Amino acid sequence: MSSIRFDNVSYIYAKGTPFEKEALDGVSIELDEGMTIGIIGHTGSGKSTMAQVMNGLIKPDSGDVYIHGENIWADPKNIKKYRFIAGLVFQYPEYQLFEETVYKDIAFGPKNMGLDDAEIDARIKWAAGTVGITADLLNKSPFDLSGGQKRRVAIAGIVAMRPSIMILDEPAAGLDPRGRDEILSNIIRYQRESSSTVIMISHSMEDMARYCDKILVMNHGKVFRYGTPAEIFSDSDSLENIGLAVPQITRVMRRLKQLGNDVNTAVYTVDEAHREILRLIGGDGK
Amino acid sequence: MSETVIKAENLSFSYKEDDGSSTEVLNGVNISIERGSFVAVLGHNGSGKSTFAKLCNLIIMPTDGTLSLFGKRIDEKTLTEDELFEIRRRVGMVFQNPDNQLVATIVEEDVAFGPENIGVPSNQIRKRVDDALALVGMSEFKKHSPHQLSGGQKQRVAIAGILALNPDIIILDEATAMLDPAGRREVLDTVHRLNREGKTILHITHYMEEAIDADRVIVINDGNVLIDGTPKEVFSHTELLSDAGLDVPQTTDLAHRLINDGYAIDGDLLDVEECAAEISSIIKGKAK
Repeated sequence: MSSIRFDNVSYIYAKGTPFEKEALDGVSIELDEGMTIGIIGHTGSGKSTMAQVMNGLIKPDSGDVYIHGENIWADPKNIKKYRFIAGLVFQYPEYQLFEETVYKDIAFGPKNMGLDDAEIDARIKWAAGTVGITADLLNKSPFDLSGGQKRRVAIAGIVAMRPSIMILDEPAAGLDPRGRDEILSNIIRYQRESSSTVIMISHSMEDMARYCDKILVMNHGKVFRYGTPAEIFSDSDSLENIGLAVPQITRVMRRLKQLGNDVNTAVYTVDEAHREILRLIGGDGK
Repeated sequence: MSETVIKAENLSFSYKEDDGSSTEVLNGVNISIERGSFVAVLGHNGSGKSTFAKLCNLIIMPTDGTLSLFGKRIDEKTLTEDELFEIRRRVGMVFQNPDNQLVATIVEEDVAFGPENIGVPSNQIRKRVDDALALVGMSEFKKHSPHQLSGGQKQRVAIAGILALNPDIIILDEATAMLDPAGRREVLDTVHRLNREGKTILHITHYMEEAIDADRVIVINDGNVLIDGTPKEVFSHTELLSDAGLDVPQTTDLAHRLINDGYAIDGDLLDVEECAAEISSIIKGKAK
Protein backbone atom coordinates (compact mmCIF):
# COMPACT_ATOMS: atom_id res chain seq x y z
CA MET A 1 0.00 0.00 0.00
CA SER A 2 1.30 3.44 -0.82
CA SER A 3 1.00 6.52 1.40
CA ILE A 4 0.77 8.97 -1.48
CA ARG A 5 0.54 8.22 -5.17
CA PHE A 6 0.92 10.70 -8.04
CA ASP A 7 -0.45 9.70 -11.41
CA ASN A 8 0.89 11.90 -14.21
CA VAL A 9 0.64 15.08 -12.10
CA SER A 10 1.50 18.44 -13.66
CA TYR A 11 1.35 21.92 -12.20
CA ILE A 12 2.22 25.18 -13.91
CA TYR A 13 2.87 28.46 -12.07
CA ALA A 14 1.75 31.78 -13.54
CA LYS A 15 0.04 30.04 -16.42
CA GLY A 16 -0.53 32.29 -19.43
CA THR A 17 2.08 34.88 -18.37
CA PRO A 18 5.68 35.32 -19.58
CA PHE A 19 6.79 33.81 -16.25
CA GLU A 20 4.97 30.55 -16.85
CA LYS A 21 6.90 27.74 -15.24
CA GLU A 22 6.14 24.05 -15.16
CA ALA A 23 6.81 23.19 -11.51
CA LEU A 24 5.67 19.57 -11.85
CA ASP A 25 5.86 17.89 -15.20
CA GLY A 26 3.95 14.61 -15.52
CA VAL A 27 5.04 13.18 -12.18
CA SER A 28 4.06 9.57 -11.48
CA ILE A 29 5.34 8.09 -8.24
CA GLU A 30 4.15 5.77 -5.51
CA LEU A 31 5.61 6.62 -2.08
CA ASP A 32 5.92 3.89 0.55
CA GLU A 33 3.90 3.82 3.73
CA GLY A 34 5.13 3.73 7.34
CA MET A 35 8.63 5.02 6.77
CA THR A 36 10.64 8.22 6.56
CA ILE A 37 11.04 9.50 3.03
CA GLY A 38 13.34 12.37 2.08
CA ILE A 39 12.88 14.64 -0.92
CA ILE A 40 15.97 16.30 -2.39
CA GLY A 41 16.49 18.49 -5.44
CA HIS A 42 18.00 21.86 -6.26
CA THR A 43 16.04 25.09 -5.78
CA GLY A 44 13.23 25.18 -8.33
CA SER A 45 13.20 21.41 -8.87
CA GLY A 46 9.58 21.16 -7.75
CA LYS A 47 10.04 19.84 -4.20
CA SER A 48 7.98 22.44 -2.35
CA THR A 49 5.25 22.41 -4.98
CA MET A 50 5.13 18.65 -4.66
CA ALA A 51 4.67 18.94 -0.87
CA GLN A 52 1.73 21.31 -1.37
CA VAL A 53 0.12 19.14 -4.02
CA MET A 54 0.47 16.10 -1.75
CA ASN A 55 -1.96 17.34 0.87
CA GLY A 56 -4.32 19.12 -1.49
CA LEU A 57 -3.18 22.67 -0.80
CA ILE A 58 -2.53 23.06 -4.51
CA LYS A 59 -4.77 21.42 -7.09
CA PRO A 60 -2.74 20.02 -9.98
CA ASP A 61 -3.49 21.25 -13.51
CA SER A 62 -3.66 17.65 -14.63
CA GLY A 63 -3.20 14.17 -13.24
CA ASP A 64 -4.46 12.55 -10.03
CA VAL A 65 -3.25 12.51 -6.43
CA TYR A 66 -4.12 9.57 -4.17
CA ILE A 67 -3.77 9.39 -0.39
CA HIS A 68 -4.06 5.84 0.94
CA GLY A 69 -5.57 4.86 -2.39
CA GLU A 70 -8.28 7.56 -2.46
CA ASN A 71 -8.31 10.18 -5.21
CA ILE A 72 -8.26 13.36 -3.12
CA TRP A 73 -9.85 15.56 -5.79
CA ALA A 74 -12.64 13.08 -6.65
CA ASP A 75 -14.98 15.46 -4.81
CA PRO A 76 -13.32 18.83 -4.15
CA LYS A 77 -15.77 19.48 -1.28
CA ASN A 78 -13.99 16.75 0.71
CA ILE A 79 -10.48 18.13 0.28
CA LYS A 80 -10.28 19.38 3.86
CA LYS A 81 -10.44 15.81 5.13
CA TYR A 82 -7.19 14.97 3.34
CA ARG A 83 -5.41 17.96 4.87
CA PHE A 84 -6.00 16.37 8.28
CA ILE A 85 -4.74 12.99 7.07
CA ALA A 86 -1.65 14.51 5.47
CA GLY A 87 -0.38 17.34 7.71
CA LEU A 88 1.96 19.87 6.14
CA VAL A 89 4.64 21.80 8.04
CA PHE A 90 5.86 24.74 5.95
CA GLN A 91 9.38 26.12 5.70
CA TYR A 92 10.18 28.36 8.67
CA PRO A 93 6.84 27.48 10.31
CA GLU A 94 7.70 29.52 13.41
CA TYR A 95 6.71 32.66 11.47
CA GLN A 96 3.15 31.37 11.50
CA LEU A 97 2.71 31.16 15.26
CA PHE A 98 0.05 33.65 16.25
CA GLU A 99 -1.70 32.71 19.50
CA GLU A 100 -1.24 34.19 22.97
CA THR A 101 0.13 30.99 24.44
CA VAL A 102 1.98 27.93 23.22
CA TYR A 103 -0.97 25.83 24.43
CA LYS A 104 -3.49 27.74 22.30
CA ASP A 105 -1.23 27.66 19.29
CA ILE A 106 -0.89 23.87 19.37
CA ALA A 107 -4.67 23.65 19.98
CA PHE A 108 -5.52 25.39 16.72
CA GLY A 109 -5.35 22.32 14.47
CA PRO A 110 -7.16 19.86 16.75
CA LYS A 111 -9.90 22.48 17.35
CA ASN A 112 -10.45 22.81 13.63
CA MET A 113 -10.90 19.06 13.51
CA GLY A 114 -13.90 19.50 15.81
CA LEU A 115 -12.51 17.42 18.68
CA ASP A 116 -13.86 17.82 22.22
CA ASP A 117 -11.93 19.78 24.85
CA ALA A 118 -10.66 16.77 26.81
CA GLU A 119 -9.31 15.15 23.65
CA ILE A 120 -7.73 18.44 22.54
CA ASP A 121 -6.05 18.84 25.94
CA ALA A 122 -4.66 15.31 25.83
CA ARG A 123 -3.35 15.77 22.32
CA ILE A 124 -1.65 19.09 23.12
CA LYS A 125 0.24 17.56 26.03
CA TRP A 126 1.20 14.51 24.02
CA ALA A 127 2.30 16.54 20.97
CA ALA A 128 4.34 18.96 23.11
CA GLY A 129 6.09 16.01 24.77
CA THR A 130 6.76 14.39 21.41
CA VAL A 131 8.64 17.43 20.09
CA GLY A 132 10.42 18.16 23.37
CA ILE A 133 8.39 21.14 24.59
CA THR A 134 8.22 20.95 28.40
CA ALA A 135 4.98 21.59 30.32
CA ASP A 136 6.25 24.86 31.83
CA LEU A 137 6.42 26.41 28.36
CA LEU A 138 2.78 25.73 27.49
CA ASN A 139 1.45 28.89 29.12
CA LYS A 140 4.18 31.14 27.77
CA SER A 141 3.78 33.37 24.76
CA PRO A 142 5.31 31.62 21.74
CA PHE A 143 7.11 34.87 20.98
CA ASP A 144 9.17 34.57 24.17
CA LEU A 145 10.73 31.29 23.03
CA SER A 146 14.00 30.72 21.21
CA GLY A 147 14.00 30.03 17.47
CA GLY A 148 14.45 26.29 17.94
CA GLN A 149 11.63 26.12 20.51
CA LYS A 150 9.27 28.09 18.25
CA ARG A 151 10.00 25.67 15.42
CA ARG A 152 9.09 22.76 17.71
CA VAL A 153 5.83 24.42 18.79
CA ALA A 154 4.89 24.87 15.14
CA ILE A 155 5.60 21.20 14.43
CA ALA A 156 3.63 20.18 17.56
CA GLY A 157 0.62 21.98 16.07
CA ILE A 158 0.65 19.49 13.20
CA VAL A 159 1.63 16.47 15.34
CA ALA A 160 -1.42 17.18 17.56
CA MET A 161 -3.66 16.46 14.57
CA ARG A 162 -2.13 12.96 14.48
CA PRO A 163 -1.79 12.91 10.71
CA SER A 164 -1.01 9.48 9.32
CA ILE A 165 1.25 11.28 6.84
CA MET A 166 3.36 14.23 7.97
CA ILE A 167 5.03 16.35 5.31
CA LEU A 168 7.77 18.78 6.40
CA ASP A 169 9.42 21.36 4.15
CA GLU A 170 12.98 21.79 5.42
CA PRO A 171 12.25 21.24 9.11
CA ALA A 172 15.87 21.82 10.17
CA ALA A 173 16.72 24.84 7.99
CA GLY A 174 18.63 27.54 9.82
CA LEU A 175 19.09 25.56 13.03
CA ASP A 176 22.48 24.90 14.60
CA PRO A 177 23.78 21.30 14.63
CA ARG A 178 22.32 20.41 18.02
CA GLY A 179 18.94 21.98 17.28
CA ARG A 180 18.86 20.16 13.96
CA ASP A 181 19.63 16.78 15.53
CA GLU A 182 16.98 17.31 18.22
CA ILE A 183 14.22 18.23 15.79
CA LEU A 184 15.03 15.47 13.33
CA SER A 185 15.27 12.81 16.07
CA ASN A 186 11.91 13.94 17.45
CA ILE A 187 10.33 13.65 14.02
CA ILE A 188 11.79 10.18 13.53
CA ARG A 189 10.56 9.12 16.97
CA TYR A 190 7.07 10.34 16.11
CA GLN A 191 7.21 8.38 12.88
CA ARG A 192 8.24 5.15 14.63
CA GLU A 193 5.88 5.42 17.59
CA SER A 194 2.87 6.23 15.44
CA SER A 195 3.85 4.00 12.48
CA SER A 196 2.99 6.97 10.31
CA THR A 197 4.67 8.15 7.14
CA VAL A 198 7.03 11.11 7.32
CA ILE A 199 8.00 12.92 4.14
CA MET A 200 10.61 15.63 4.52
CA ILE A 201 12.37 18.01 2.19
CA SER A 202 15.99 18.85 2.95
CA HIS A 203 19.12 20.32 1.39
CA SER A 204 21.39 18.40 3.73
CA MET A 205 22.54 15.18 2.09
CA GLU A 206 24.16 14.16 5.40
CA ASP A 207 20.82 14.44 7.23
CA MET A 208 18.96 12.59 4.47
CA ALA A 209 21.48 9.76 4.56
CA ARG A 210 21.22 9.49 8.31
CA TYR A 211 17.49 9.75 8.88
CA CYS A 212 15.61 8.56 5.80
CA ASP A 213 14.57 5.05 4.71
CA LYS A 214 13.96 6.16 1.14
CA ILE A 215 14.89 9.24 -0.86
CA LEU A 216 13.06 10.86 -3.76
CA VAL A 217 15.23 12.98 -6.04
CA MET A 218 13.48 15.70 -8.03
CA ASN A 219 14.93 17.52 -11.04
CA HIS A 220 13.23 20.12 -13.26
CA GLY A 221 9.75 19.11 -12.13
CA LYS A 222 10.29 15.41 -12.78
CA VAL A 223 11.17 12.41 -10.63
CA PHE A 224 14.88 11.74 -11.13
CA ARG A 225 15.26 8.76 -8.76
CA TYR A 226 13.46 7.04 -5.89
CA GLY A 227 15.31 4.55 -3.74
CA THR A 228 17.18 3.78 -0.54
CA PRO A 229 19.99 6.16 0.48
CA ALA A 230 22.49 3.50 -0.65
CA GLU A 231 20.90 3.34 -4.10
CA ILE A 232 20.68 7.12 -4.44
CA PHE A 233 24.15 8.02 -3.23
CA SER A 234 25.90 5.23 -5.12
CA ASP A 235 25.46 7.25 -8.31
CA SER A 236 27.24 10.42 -7.26
CA ASP A 237 28.07 11.57 -10.78
CA SER A 238 24.41 11.84 -11.75
CA LEU A 239 23.59 13.67 -8.54
CA GLU A 240 26.36 16.18 -9.09
CA ASN A 241 25.15 16.73 -12.65
CA ILE A 242 21.82 17.95 -11.33
CA GLY A 243 23.32 20.34 -8.75
CA LEU A 244 23.24 18.02 -5.75
CA ALA A 245 26.02 16.43 -3.80
CA VAL A 246 26.70 13.21 -1.95
CA PRO A 247 27.63 13.33 1.75
CA GLN A 248 31.23 14.33 2.43
CA ILE A 249 31.96 10.88 3.87
CA THR A 250 30.82 9.22 0.62
CA ARG A 251 33.30 11.38 -1.27
CA VAL A 252 36.07 10.12 1.02
CA MET A 253 35.12 6.51 0.21
CA ARG A 254 35.05 7.22 -3.53
CA ARG A 255 38.50 8.78 -3.31
CA LEU A 256 39.76 5.73 -1.38
CA LYS A 257 38.53 3.54 -4.20
CA GLN A 258 40.31 5.73 -6.78
CA LEU A 259 43.48 5.34 -4.74
CA GLY A 260 43.27 1.61 -5.36
CA ASN A 261 41.54 0.39 -2.19
CA ASP A 262 38.85 -2.26 -2.47
CA VAL A 263 36.23 -0.29 -0.50
CA ASN A 264 32.49 -0.36 -0.72
CA THR A 265 31.62 3.17 -1.88
CA ALA A 266 27.92 2.79 -1.02
CA VAL A 267 28.65 4.27 2.38
CA TYR A 268 26.83 7.39 3.44
CA THR A 269 27.22 7.79 7.20
CA VAL A 270 30.31 8.09 9.38
CA ASP A 271 29.26 4.94 11.27
CA GLU A 272 29.27 2.89 8.09
CA ALA A 273 32.53 4.39 6.84
CA HIS A 274 34.18 3.58 10.14
CA ARG A 275 33.02 -0.06 9.98
CA GLU A 276 34.04 -0.42 6.35
CA ILE A 277 37.55 0.92 6.98
CA LEU A 278 38.03 -1.33 10.01
CA ARG A 279 36.95 -4.27 7.87
CA LEU A 280 39.62 -3.40 5.28
CA ILE A 281 42.35 -2.89 7.84
CA GLY A 282 41.32 -6.17 9.41
CA GLY A 283 40.17 -4.65 12.68
CA ASP A 284 37.26 -6.23 14.53
CA GLY A 285 34.88 -3.36 13.79
CA LYS A 286 33.21 -4.16 17.10
CA MET B 1 52.54 43.88 9.34
CA SER B 2 48.96 43.84 8.23
CA GLU B 3 46.38 46.27 9.44
CA THR B 4 43.87 45.32 12.12
CA VAL B 5 40.46 46.28 10.73
CA ILE B 6 38.31 45.08 13.64
CA LYS B 7 39.54 45.10 17.21
CA ALA B 8 37.25 44.15 20.07
CA GLU B 9 38.64 44.52 23.58
CA ASN B 10 36.56 43.25 26.45
CA LEU B 11 33.56 43.97 24.26
CA SER B 12 30.13 43.39 25.78
CA PHE B 13 26.58 43.80 24.68
CA SER B 14 23.46 43.45 26.76
CA TYR B 15 19.87 44.46 26.26
CA LYS B 16 17.15 45.50 28.66
CA GLU B 17 14.27 43.15 29.38
CA ASP B 18 10.72 44.45 29.93
CA ASP B 19 11.11 44.03 33.69
CA GLY B 20 14.19 46.28 33.75
CA SER B 21 16.74 43.49 34.16
CA SER B 22 19.42 43.15 31.52
CA THR B 23 20.45 40.09 29.50
CA GLU B 24 24.07 39.79 28.46
CA VAL B 25 24.62 38.51 24.92
CA LEU B 26 28.36 39.19 24.59
CA ASN B 27 30.51 39.13 27.67
CA GLY B 28 34.00 40.61 27.38
CA VAL B 29 35.01 39.44 23.91
CA ASN B 30 38.56 39.96 22.61
CA ILE B 31 38.93 39.53 18.86
CA SER B 32 41.28 41.16 16.33
CA ILE B 33 40.70 40.72 12.64
CA GLU B 34 43.39 41.51 10.07
CA ARG B 35 42.76 43.08 6.70
CA GLY B 36 42.44 40.52 3.92
CA SER B 37 41.67 37.54 6.15
CA PHE B 38 38.83 35.05 5.70
CA VAL B 39 37.34 34.32 9.10
CA ALA B 40 34.59 31.78 9.73
CA VAL B 41 32.50 32.35 12.84
CA LEU B 42 30.71 29.36 14.36
CA GLY B 43 28.39 29.08 17.35
CA HIS B 44 24.98 27.69 18.24
CA ASN B 45 21.82 29.77 17.90
CA GLY B 46 21.88 32.42 20.62
CA SER B 47 25.65 32.15 21.19
CA GLY B 48 26.18 35.82 20.35
CA LYS B 49 27.83 35.44 16.95
CA SER B 50 25.28 37.54 15.04
CA THR B 51 25.43 40.17 17.78
CA PHE B 52 29.18 40.41 17.21
CA ALA B 53 28.53 40.89 13.48
CA LYS B 54 25.96 43.62 14.12
CA LEU B 55 28.42 45.44 16.37
CA CYS B 56 31.00 45.40 13.58
CA ASN B 57 28.91 47.64 11.38
CA LEU B 58 27.26 49.49 14.24
CA ILE B 59 23.71 48.30 13.71
CA ILE B 60 23.95 48.07 17.49
CA MET B 61 26.36 49.84 19.85
CA PRO B 62 28.56 48.18 22.50
CA THR B 63 27.33 48.45 26.08
CA ASP B 64 30.81 47.91 27.54
CA GLY B 65 34.42 47.46 26.47
CA THR B 66 35.99 48.99 23.39
CA LEU B 67 35.52 48.44 19.70
CA SER B 68 37.91 49.88 17.13
CA LEU B 69 37.15 49.80 13.42
CA PHE B 70 39.91 50.59 10.91
CA GLY B 71 42.12 51.79 13.75
CA LYS B 72 39.60 54.22 15.17
CA ARG B 73 37.98 53.65 18.52
CA ILE B 74 34.18 53.90 18.35
CA ASP B 75 32.67 56.28 20.86
CA GLU B 76 28.92 56.52 20.65
CA LYS B 77 28.89 60.00 22.19
CA THR B 78 31.16 61.63 19.64
CA LEU B 79 30.34 59.51 16.57
CA THR B 80 28.89 61.72 13.86
CA GLU B 81 26.25 60.58 11.42
CA ASP B 82 28.78 60.88 8.58
CA GLU B 83 31.20 58.60 10.39
CA LEU B 84 28.45 56.09 11.07
CA PHE B 85 27.45 56.01 7.40
CA GLU B 86 31.08 55.64 6.36
CA ILE B 87 31.50 52.61 8.63
CA ARG B 88 28.32 51.00 7.31
CA ARG B 89 29.62 51.56 3.79
CA ARG B 90 32.98 49.99 4.62
CA VAL B 91 31.47 47.01 6.47
CA GLY B 92 28.77 45.44 4.31
CA MET B 93 26.44 42.77 5.56
CA VAL B 94 24.55 39.97 3.78
CA PHE B 95 21.71 38.38 5.73
CA GLN B 96 20.14 34.94 5.83
CA ASN B 97 16.96 35.27 3.81
CA PRO B 98 17.57 35.93 0.10
CA ASP B 99 13.99 37.18 -0.28
CA ASN B 100 14.28 39.96 2.30
CA GLN B 101 17.26 41.86 0.95
CA LEU B 102 16.50 42.87 -2.61
CA VAL B 103 14.40 46.01 -2.85
CA ALA B 104 14.15 46.88 -6.54
CA THR B 105 12.26 45.13 -9.32
CA ILE B 106 15.28 44.86 -11.64
CA VAL B 107 18.63 43.37 -10.62
CA GLU B 108 20.79 46.30 -11.77
CA GLU B 109 18.51 48.81 -10.05
CA ASP B 110 18.87 46.87 -6.85
CA VAL B 111 22.66 47.00 -7.07
CA ALA B 112 22.46 50.77 -7.79
CA PHE B 113 20.37 51.39 -4.67
CA GLY B 114 23.37 51.73 -2.32
CA PRO B 115 25.54 54.00 -4.49
CA GLU B 116 22.52 56.22 -5.25
CA ASN B 117 21.84 56.55 -1.53
CA ILE B 118 25.34 57.69 -0.67
CA GLY B 119 25.30 60.23 -3.49
CA VAL B 120 27.65 58.65 -6.00
CA PRO B 121 27.45 60.79 -9.19
CA SER B 122 25.15 59.11 -11.70
CA ASN B 123 27.84 58.86 -14.40
CA GLN B 124 29.87 56.65 -12.03
CA ILE B 125 26.97 54.50 -10.88
CA ARG B 126 26.74 52.67 -14.21
CA LYS B 127 30.33 51.52 -13.94
CA ARG B 128 30.06 50.56 -10.28
CA VAL B 129 26.96 48.46 -10.94
CA ASP B 130 28.48 46.73 -13.96
CA ASP B 131 31.74 46.02 -12.11
CA ALA B 132 29.93 44.68 -9.04
CA LEU B 133 27.69 42.38 -11.10
CA ALA B 134 30.71 41.12 -13.03
CA LEU B 135 32.55 40.34 -9.78
CA VAL B 136 29.75 38.07 -8.57
CA GLY B 137 29.20 36.56 -12.03
CA MET B 138 25.69 37.97 -12.46
CA SER B 139 26.17 40.37 -15.40
CA GLU B 140 23.91 38.41 -17.72
CA PHE B 141 21.03 38.73 -15.23
CA LYS B 142 21.20 42.51 -14.86
CA LYS B 143 17.85 43.10 -16.57
CA HIS B 144 16.12 40.25 -14.74
CA SER B 145 13.64 40.60 -11.94
CA PRO B 146 15.01 39.29 -8.61
CA HIS B 147 12.08 36.89 -8.18
CA GLN B 148 13.19 34.97 -11.28
CA LEU B 149 16.53 34.14 -9.64
CA SER B 150 17.53 31.14 -7.52
CA GLY B 151 18.48 31.62 -3.85
CA GLY B 152 22.20 31.52 -4.62
CA GLN B 153 21.80 34.06 -7.41
CA LYS B 154 19.79 36.39 -5.14
CA GLN B 155 22.50 36.25 -2.50
CA ARG B 156 25.13 37.05 -5.15
CA VAL B 157 23.06 40.09 -6.19
CA ALA B 158 22.90 41.12 -2.51
CA ILE B 159 26.70 40.82 -2.39
CA ALA B 160 26.96 42.91 -5.58
CA GLY B 161 24.83 45.60 -3.90
CA ILE B 162 27.42 45.76 -1.15
CA LEU B 163 30.37 45.68 -3.56
CA ALA B 164 28.96 48.70 -5.37
CA LEU B 165 29.69 50.64 -2.18
CA ASN B 166 33.32 49.50 -2.33
CA PRO B 167 33.52 48.06 1.19
CA ASP B 168 36.61 46.78 3.01
CA ILE B 169 34.80 44.04 4.92
CA ILE B 170 31.91 41.78 3.92
CA ILE B 171 30.04 39.98 6.67
CA LEU B 172 27.82 37.05 5.73
CA ASP B 173 25.38 36.41 8.57
CA GLU B 174 24.28 32.83 7.82
CA ALA B 175 23.89 33.91 4.21
CA THR B 176 24.09 30.30 3.01
CA ALA B 177 21.59 28.84 5.51
CA MET B 178 18.61 28.84 3.15
CA LEU B 179 20.41 27.74 -0.01
CA ASP B 180 20.71 24.37 -1.72
CA PRO B 181 24.18 22.78 -2.14
CA ALA B 182 24.75 24.38 -5.56
CA GLY B 183 23.65 27.80 -4.27
CA ARG B 184 25.94 27.50 -1.26
CA ARG B 185 28.82 26.60 -3.54
CA GLU B 186 28.13 29.65 -5.78
CA VAL B 187 28.11 32.05 -2.84
CA LEU B 188 31.21 30.53 -1.22
CA ASP B 189 33.17 30.54 -4.48
CA THR B 190 32.20 34.19 -4.93
CA VAL B 191 33.32 35.32 -1.47
CA HIS B 192 36.56 33.32 -1.68
CA ARG B 193 37.31 35.08 -4.96
CA LEU B 194 36.55 38.48 -3.43
CA ASN B 195 38.82 37.56 -0.51
CA ARG B 196 41.68 36.81 -2.90
CA GLU B 197 41.12 40.26 -4.38
CA GLY B 198 41.65 41.80 -0.96
CA LYS B 199 38.26 41.93 0.78
CA THR B 200 38.14 40.89 4.41
CA ILE B 201 35.43 38.26 4.92
CA LEU B 202 33.57 37.28 8.07
CA HIS B 203 31.48 34.22 7.32
CA ILE B 204 28.99 33.21 10.01
CA THR B 205 27.65 29.72 9.35
CA HIS B 206 26.20 26.53 10.79
CA TYR B 207 27.82 24.39 8.11
CA MET B 208 31.09 23.14 9.56
CA GLU B 209 32.47 22.17 6.16
CA GLU B 210 32.16 25.80 5.00
CA ALA B 211 34.73 26.75 7.65
CA ILE B 212 37.37 24.33 6.34
CA ASP B 213 38.74 26.74 3.74
CA ALA B 214 38.86 29.78 6.04
CA ASP B 215 42.17 31.23 7.25
CA ARG B 216 40.82 31.24 10.73
CA VAL B 217 37.82 29.92 12.68
CA ILE B 218 36.36 31.63 15.73
CA VAL B 219 33.90 29.65 17.84
CA ILE B 220 31.62 31.76 19.99
CA ASN B 221 29.78 30.15 22.88
CA ASP B 222 27.61 31.76 25.57
CA GLY B 223 28.75 35.26 24.66
CA ASN B 224 32.46 34.64 24.57
CA VAL B 225 35.22 33.21 22.37
CA LEU B 226 35.49 29.48 23.01
CA ILE B 227 38.18 28.58 20.45
CA ASP B 228 40.09 30.74 17.97
CA GLY B 229 42.58 29.27 15.54
CA THR B 230 43.15 27.69 12.15
CA PRO B 231 40.44 25.27 10.95
CA LYS B 232 42.75 22.35 11.81
CA GLU B 233 43.31 23.58 15.35
CA VAL B 234 39.65 24.34 15.95
CA PHE B 235 38.21 21.09 14.59
CA SER B 236 40.69 19.00 16.58
CA HIS B 237 38.66 20.03 19.67
CA THR B 238 35.83 17.63 18.87
CA GLU B 239 34.53 17.36 22.44
CA LEU B 240 34.64 21.08 23.13
CA LEU B 241 32.71 21.69 19.91
CA SER B 242 30.15 19.04 20.74
CA ASP B 243 29.62 20.59 24.20
CA ALA B 244 29.01 23.91 22.46
CA GLY B 245 26.22 22.32 20.38
CA LEU B 246 28.34 22.15 17.23
CA ASP B 247 29.82 19.26 15.33
CA VAL B 248 32.90 18.63 13.21
CA PRO B 249 33.12 17.81 9.49
CA GLN B 250 32.51 14.11 8.75
CA THR B 251 36.17 13.69 7.73
CA THR B 252 37.38 14.87 11.15
CA ASP B 253 34.79 12.70 12.90
CA LEU B 254 36.04 9.63 11.03
CA ALA B 255 39.71 10.42 11.74
CA HIS B 256 38.99 10.75 15.46
CA ARG B 257 37.17 7.44 15.57
CA LEU B 258 40.17 5.75 13.97
CA ILE B 259 42.50 7.43 16.48
CA ASN B 260 40.31 6.08 19.29
CA ASP B 261 40.70 2.62 17.75
CA GLY B 262 44.45 3.06 18.18
CA TYR B 263 45.48 3.87 14.62
CA ALA B 264 48.21 6.44 14.10
CA ILE B 265 46.35 8.90 11.96
CA ASP B 266 46.53 12.64 11.67
CA GLY B 267 43.65 14.00 13.79
CA ASP B 268 43.20 17.28 11.98
CA LEU B 269 42.23 15.97 8.58
CA LEU B 270 39.68 18.24 7.01
CA ASP B 271 39.32 17.90 3.31
CA VAL B 272 38.28 14.80 1.47
CA GLU B 273 41.59 14.50 -0.37
CA GLU B 274 43.80 14.55 2.75
CA CYS B 275 41.52 12.25 4.68
CA ALA B 276 41.40 9.64 1.90
CA ALA B 277 45.18 9.76 1.35
CA GLU B 278 45.91 9.21 5.04
CA ILE B 279 43.43 6.34 5.44
CA SER B 280 44.65 4.78 2.22
CA SER B 281 48.22 4.64 3.52
CA ILE B 282 46.99 2.93 6.70
CA ILE B 283 44.96 0.37 4.75
CA LYS B 284 47.89 -0.38 2.45
CA GLY B 285 50.37 -0.48 5.34
CA LYS B 286 48.23 -3.07 7.13
CA ALA B 287 47.70 -5.17 4.05
CA LYS B 288 51.44 -5.79 3.63
